[in-house]
Amino acid sequence: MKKTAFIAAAVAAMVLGIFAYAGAATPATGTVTVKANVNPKLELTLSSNTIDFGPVDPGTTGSSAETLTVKSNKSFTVSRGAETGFSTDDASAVKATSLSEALGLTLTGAPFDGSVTQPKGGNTTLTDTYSYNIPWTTNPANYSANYTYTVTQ
Amino acid sequence: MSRRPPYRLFRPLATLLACGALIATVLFSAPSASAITDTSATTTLSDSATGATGVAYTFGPYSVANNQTALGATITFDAGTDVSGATVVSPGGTCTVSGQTVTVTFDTYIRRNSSFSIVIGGIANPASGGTHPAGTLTITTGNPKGGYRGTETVARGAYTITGPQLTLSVSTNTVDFGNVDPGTTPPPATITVDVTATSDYSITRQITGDASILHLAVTGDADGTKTAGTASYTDAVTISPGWDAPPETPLAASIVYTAVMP
Repeated sequence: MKKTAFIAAAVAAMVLGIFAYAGAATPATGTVTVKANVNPKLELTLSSNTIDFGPVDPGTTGSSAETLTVKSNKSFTVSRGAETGFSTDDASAVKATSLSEALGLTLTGAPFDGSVTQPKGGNTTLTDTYSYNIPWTTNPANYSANYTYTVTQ
Repeated sequence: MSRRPPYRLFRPLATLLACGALIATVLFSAPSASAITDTSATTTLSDSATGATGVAYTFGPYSVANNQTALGATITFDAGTDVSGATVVSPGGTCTVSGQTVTVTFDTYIRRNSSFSIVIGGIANPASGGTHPAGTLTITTGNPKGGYRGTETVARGAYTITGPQLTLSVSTNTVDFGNVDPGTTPPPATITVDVTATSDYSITRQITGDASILHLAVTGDADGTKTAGTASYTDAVTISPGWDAPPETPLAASIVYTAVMP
């Protein structure tokens, strides 16, 4: 008899449960898919486009740093090209043929020969230092030349 | 020597007896099936929502035939309907409740050749929705002077108890920003979320997928607690993929809007 009563109670509970469920609203949902395709992109910013040592005496040394900021969403390499566009207002018969010769210029920076792959990112900075050591053999004059940096993904 | 009644008196006497019997039949017999007409009777509810309280149930209309009156009614409500607070709204009257049965006594009987509906207020609807099929109720009938004559079973209409309703739709299922440069923020996309709910509800957004890579942000009013009814909400979706986002790779995120009624 007790078993029968228990079963009846269980059935009643199940029925009441079903009714309670029927009275509840099912949650309503809506889904939006957001899609995008990111382009490969590479940006190079130089801290300065001109390094001007100004008037310098022979036998003196000095330096100036050039900072390169690279943004790339793929890994990349940086290379610095050879000196180009050398010019001088030296009218002497014998004169320097390059900026590195005229100023005793050396460039030192974390390698700019394209041999090192840099990780992708939006704020990679690299420094190149331009140092001069003016030879006494350099004629007094104005000298200039160009160096070009290239970043490649 | 006995005398037989004159034959000429027999016919008027028989006619008189027949008329008396006819009049007695009309005056004292049980009401005919047409005492109350229920051909267009329906059942309407002032609020058909599940669990609604203080609901008025209207049964009718019923028409009282000639030489008849209506004195009251007995209505048995379906199981699950709470009639413990039943009151008579119309016609004026009083009622008693026993279980699921409400017995109504009209203050003034409904006269012959007139129509009436019975409105019972203070009812609480069942907790679960569904259709309640047509059934019957009992009208207490009377003679033209309002004296008790009997009862008549009449039809009552079906009705439906409506469960909570909640719908949600979005204006678009896909927002495609196409090709995007890293470090840029294209113009935001707009999503409209339409919701219809029979009671207060809340909306939540769940964002999954490449949301963090895209730096996906959703702003707007399709979020939080809302009041019942039909409403449109507008969200703005923006992305600002960083330089760390993989290029030339389809990226996708999902925004799932969910409306819930407690």
